[in-house]
Amino acid sequence: MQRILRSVLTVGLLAVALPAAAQNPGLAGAMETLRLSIDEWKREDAAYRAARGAAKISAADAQEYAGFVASLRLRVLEQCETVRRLGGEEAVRDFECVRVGPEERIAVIVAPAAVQTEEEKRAALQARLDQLEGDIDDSLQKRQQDIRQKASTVGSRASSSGTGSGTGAGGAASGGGASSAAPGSTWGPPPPEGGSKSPEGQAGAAGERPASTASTGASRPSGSAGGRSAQRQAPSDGGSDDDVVARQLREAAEKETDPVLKEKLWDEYRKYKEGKR
Amino acid sequence: MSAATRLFRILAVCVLAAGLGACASNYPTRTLSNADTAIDRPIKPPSDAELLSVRIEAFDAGALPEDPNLSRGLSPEIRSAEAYYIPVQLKNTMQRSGHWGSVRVVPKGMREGEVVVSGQILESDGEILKLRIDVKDAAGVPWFGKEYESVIDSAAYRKAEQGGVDPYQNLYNRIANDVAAYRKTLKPEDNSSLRKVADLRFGTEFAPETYQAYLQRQEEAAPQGDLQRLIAFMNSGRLASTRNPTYTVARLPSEEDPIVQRVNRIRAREELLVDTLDQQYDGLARGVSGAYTQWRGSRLKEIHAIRETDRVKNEEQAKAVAIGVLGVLAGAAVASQNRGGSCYNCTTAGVAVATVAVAYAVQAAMKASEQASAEVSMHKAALEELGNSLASDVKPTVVEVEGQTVELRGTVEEKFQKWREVLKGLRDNETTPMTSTSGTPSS
Repeated sequence: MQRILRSVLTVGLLAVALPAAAQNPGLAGAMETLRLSIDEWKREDAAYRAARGAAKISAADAQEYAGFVASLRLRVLEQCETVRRLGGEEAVRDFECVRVGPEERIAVIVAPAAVQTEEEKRAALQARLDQLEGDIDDSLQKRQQDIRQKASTVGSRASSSGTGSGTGAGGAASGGGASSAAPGSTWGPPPPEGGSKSPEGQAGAAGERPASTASTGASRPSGSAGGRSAQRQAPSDGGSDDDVVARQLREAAEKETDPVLKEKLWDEYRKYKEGKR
Repeated sequence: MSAATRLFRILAVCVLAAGLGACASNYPTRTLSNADTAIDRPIKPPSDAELLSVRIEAFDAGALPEDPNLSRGLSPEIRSAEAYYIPVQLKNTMQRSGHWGSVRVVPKGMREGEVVVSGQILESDGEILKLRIDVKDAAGVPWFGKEYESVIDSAAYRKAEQGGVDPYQNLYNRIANDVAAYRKTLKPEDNSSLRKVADLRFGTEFAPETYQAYLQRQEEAAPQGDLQRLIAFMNSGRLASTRNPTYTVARLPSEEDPIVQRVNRIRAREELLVDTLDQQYDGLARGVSGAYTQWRGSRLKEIHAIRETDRVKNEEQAKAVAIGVLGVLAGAAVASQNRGGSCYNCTTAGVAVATVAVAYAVQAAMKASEQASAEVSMHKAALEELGNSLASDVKPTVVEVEGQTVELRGTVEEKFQKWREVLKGLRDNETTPMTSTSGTPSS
């Protein structure tokens, strides 16, 4: 707990220093603040992991500590952006900040002491691909959920209102009837195609595949679409509107292996995005 | 020429003029398509390897008729809904035929399927449905292009309602049978080749540096074999040669290649996107189905009522003309008794008979025309009302689904684009000689 109190004091000092840095666009001050933030985050992150590894803290303390570490992580990311705004990409080169290209940002954290190896780069790119796949899955699953929800809503509405009254087909006075009378206007299975000569009983006798799963069921690689999002506590928005900070927080949460810290990182992600809205 | 003869001629012209309107018709009668076409099903269930997947593009809505009578009550809003509704009916027909793997309706321009069906609505007014259908495969080879037409009556609507099918099911069956007939001309190895070409073309979109070597592109091609060329000619009435590029497999990539494995993963997502879009169109079709079917049936009844009114008017006017002509002839016969001035009163009597007959004929013809005109106006107003009602009914659904489609495609394709860039980074990384460290990260 002493460690947490000391860290809170440090964060307080940083909070005082930040507005000064904002008032004074001196880059050096902002960079110094960032350096302190990174040191603080690394120290607390290592201490948290050591305490967790040694089972020295209770579950409640772990929750509190993880929340604190996650907030430090967010602060580092935000200060990276402050320094970037003041000094551009060059200014963040020596810090653990994401590099932002003109068209695409690739989340490669550059450790100041040890430069990334090719293996690490590849792992980071692979993680990015995985994340993009997860984002696509999220978007599609959300849309499919909406479709199912709408289908069930319309289905229940149709079943409660019957099959339509079919009033006044034809005649001048029946003009408005077309919209309200809807025989067969349900969201049930599509009608058979055979006409009177093609009994429905024959439909699909040879090679028929279900209407909405045939293409995906057979060819999709195992464990790909749809499997990942259920395993994490990620928000369902897909991250399509993430800015640089949110994107990095999301990545950090996705990569985090400690479940408590992972959850706290997601909490920070949500809070950050809500704050942005 | 005597004054009496001139008078008879004038009266005859009056009678003919009164009957002129009898020939006019608002909606010419069409020849019904009576032949039932059953869906062709495979005798033996095809193996999975033989089941090609089909993508049906949302149809081109086409232009409305220029004739104001024929276009009355039709609208671009209704055509927009039909451009999704009709492909969904065709999809359901093809899916259930048993000849195909997955059959999906996709937005226009999304053609990465093994077989791609495109269509244009040429005419659709509740009585006639006329479509232009073009089919081609992943290799870029056009299978055929053909126009399909079906004219139905109210009995077809009743029969369709009883059978729970679309009134134009016969037309969908004919299209599905033609596509299946073409597929039967393919050799088993053609099926397999088409699948590979489709996969490779997809891979080229995402990793062109890797996949280009596997595909061979030809700028000009005709249908593959003589038989297929003949079928294409019989179906379309023209040789299906084209300047569109065609593709063949140059060689196959290794399934162990990490790039290929990654592209396969994204291919699965693209199929999931297609499934999702297809579900949207299914929902649209089912959502508008009831109102649309009722509109078509009601519209057809109004058109029949106008035709019946025109028919009655024509009959009344024909009767009036006949009476007038007979009156003129009778009058002329009576007047002809005055040869040499022996019966001066005969001329007067003849003229009187003819004049009375013509007056009656003109009056009867005008009355029939006025009555018909009032009735036709009422039915035309009903057509407008029916059309406006359906248009306002389907428009929100179509706009909503089109908006959702654009949004979903935009979201996913933006991710696909990023995915392409990261994949390129990975490829560069994997093809670069391994070094222990790198001073500058790629950005």
